[in-house]
Amino acid sequence: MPQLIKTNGVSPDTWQLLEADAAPNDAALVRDNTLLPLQSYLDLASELKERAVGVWLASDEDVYALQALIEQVPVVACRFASFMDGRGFSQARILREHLDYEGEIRACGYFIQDQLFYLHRCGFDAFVVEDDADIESMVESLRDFSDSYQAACDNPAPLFRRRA
Amino acid sequence: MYVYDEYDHKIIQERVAQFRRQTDRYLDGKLREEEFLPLRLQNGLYVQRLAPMLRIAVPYGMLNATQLRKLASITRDYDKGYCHFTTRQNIQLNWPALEQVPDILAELAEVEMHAVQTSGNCIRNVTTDQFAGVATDEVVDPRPYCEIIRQWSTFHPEFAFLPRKFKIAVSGTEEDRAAIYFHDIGLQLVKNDRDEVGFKVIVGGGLGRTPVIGSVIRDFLPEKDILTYLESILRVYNLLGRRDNKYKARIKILVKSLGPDVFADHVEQEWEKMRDTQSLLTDKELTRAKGYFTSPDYETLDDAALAIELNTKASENKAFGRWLERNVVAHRQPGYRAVTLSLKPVGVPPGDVSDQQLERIADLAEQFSFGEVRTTHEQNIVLGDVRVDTLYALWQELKSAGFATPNIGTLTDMICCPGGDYCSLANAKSIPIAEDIQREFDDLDYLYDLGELDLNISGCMNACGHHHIGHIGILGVDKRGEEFYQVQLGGSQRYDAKLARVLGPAFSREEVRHVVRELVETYVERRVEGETFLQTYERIGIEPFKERVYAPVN
Repeated sequence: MPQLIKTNGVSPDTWQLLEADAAPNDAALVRDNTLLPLQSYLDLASELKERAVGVWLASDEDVYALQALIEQVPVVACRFASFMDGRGFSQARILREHLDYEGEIRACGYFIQDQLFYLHRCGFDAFVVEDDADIESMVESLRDFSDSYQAACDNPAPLFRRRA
Repeated sequence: MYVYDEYDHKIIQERVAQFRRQTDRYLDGKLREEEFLPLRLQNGLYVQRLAPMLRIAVPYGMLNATQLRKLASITRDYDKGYCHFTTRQNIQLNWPALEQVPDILAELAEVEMHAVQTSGNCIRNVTTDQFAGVATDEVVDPRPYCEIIRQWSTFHPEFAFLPRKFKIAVSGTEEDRAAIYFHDIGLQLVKNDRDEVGFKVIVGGGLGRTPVIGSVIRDFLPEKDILTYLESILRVYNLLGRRDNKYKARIKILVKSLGPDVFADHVEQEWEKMRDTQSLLTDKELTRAKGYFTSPDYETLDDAALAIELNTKASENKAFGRWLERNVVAHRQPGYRAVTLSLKPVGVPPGDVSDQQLERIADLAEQFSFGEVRTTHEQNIVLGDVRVDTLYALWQELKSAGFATPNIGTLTDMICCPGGDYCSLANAKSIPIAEDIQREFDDLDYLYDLGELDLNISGCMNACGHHHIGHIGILGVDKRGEEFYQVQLGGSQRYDAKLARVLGPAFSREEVRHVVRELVETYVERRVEGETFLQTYERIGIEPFKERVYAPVN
């Protein structure tokens, strides 16, 4: 089973991501701990309140589609088709900084260990990795730097406002 | 110049440690080739035709003597004893070993240098005018803003995996010396009618396969808004820029396809949401940044009296007079001048410097110019603050060091990419073309008579040698496996930005020097008093040049 790295530890990832063609069109058929494609989530949104059902975004999808639902979504997953596609970094920051989203933002798909520090700064707080991943090495990458110049989700004050 | 504090040191040291771990994982087979690729690129490391190539950042072109000596020892210890100055004010090593790069980076960090984001799809080294802070036509010194932008862009978490590379240039003068209309973002420092400082913001310029002159999207952005505004531009580009085709991924393509007005609307909308965040600059930060770029300890000198003495010397010594005319420019401090060291003597690839020469430059900087130098977009080096009464002594030193070729701004002060001798992308060699032209035009009186003439050479259409914006541009092309050269005319890299036009069918290497000769002769015959090559070209058009070059031989 894939592992889920969070800032407070590592656990098996019990969530299931459904592709568009596998997503039910009836909320009653959606199991808990499911990540639905954006369109499915939007279609069923009114019946998913208080449910442990999240949504995943492809890198070309518009985060603002979730604006009205931001209070009810427990998990938003940004799915990286390729680690070279950096749109997910902006998606997460918009979720946190413009939409004031306070739930979990998880990175899934093809991202790499060496992006963990930047991903975390952009608002990601959960990372889905392979079950045989070198977790120790990954957690080390999550802490590549102890400080940063610019403002981001982990610290809204840029260094120039904190320098003595 | 800027001096690191404990934060800067810590961040750069942590970067070196990070890259060392990444290199170890790669060498241990724990990091795949294609995943290591963007990581090494963002640490300046390419794998080129003959060996890896390491591009070292020289933030906005400023270097001190300590750094020059470190660079000298690095080229000696890790390379073949020479390095190359690039058109983006950076420095390249051509032969480092991959396993040793973390050690090189650690040595650089000791002298407040690095190779961060000198390659890859991220925000690159910010560039500016080599005469910043001393130019007589300067409106605002760009260097404090360059440093602020450098810090903001360094390890920016959101913009390390952009659709494509991203280059920012800043200019603060009346005449543009930073080619700001040919960058992804060009920033011109201006003052409004209330004497407040701000930026004219230009986006979507660039060279490469699709050369484009940038569009102004804002005439006046207050200085404190610069980081939030840059962040907005980058976010719009990161989300909307094309990622399906490498050749259509630069911001210029996005700006063109949306139209500059629509692009600007996107930026303004995004900016409204973030303009009041803590990234808004403070008076304290502006003061702090400016504090690193104050005037050095100038002496109070009588410029007029010194100028008379200088003119007497110049009239007694023609060679010295020539050098003064071409390689020395006015300074805003009375009794001082800025001196350009030519890295374009005949027989040396443009921009190449040996380890011993680096050390010599360091000594000269300390002796004549407060221990600092600047690298230039035209691949030369500037001593920014030289006393008029030491110019003669400096000239003699420069002659023996090989930097006194009095050709700055002339035909033989060419911009030239490394080309097929080094680069795996090149279609053709460019260094031998530069050498042919230098040998063809070795008559200095003739060169001076020609006056200002930008000749730029690129070995392929990626245009690292900026052939589109030379008065004469030369582009290496591949025709059925053979190297040919296309010639272009009429480009300009200043505020009056223009792209050059293709003259006609391409030439063989042997023909190029003669073609340049014919072009120059056409100008000499057709010019009217005081006209530059570019002005004559603009008046008479491309046809007379074409007719002469392609005239049938009888």
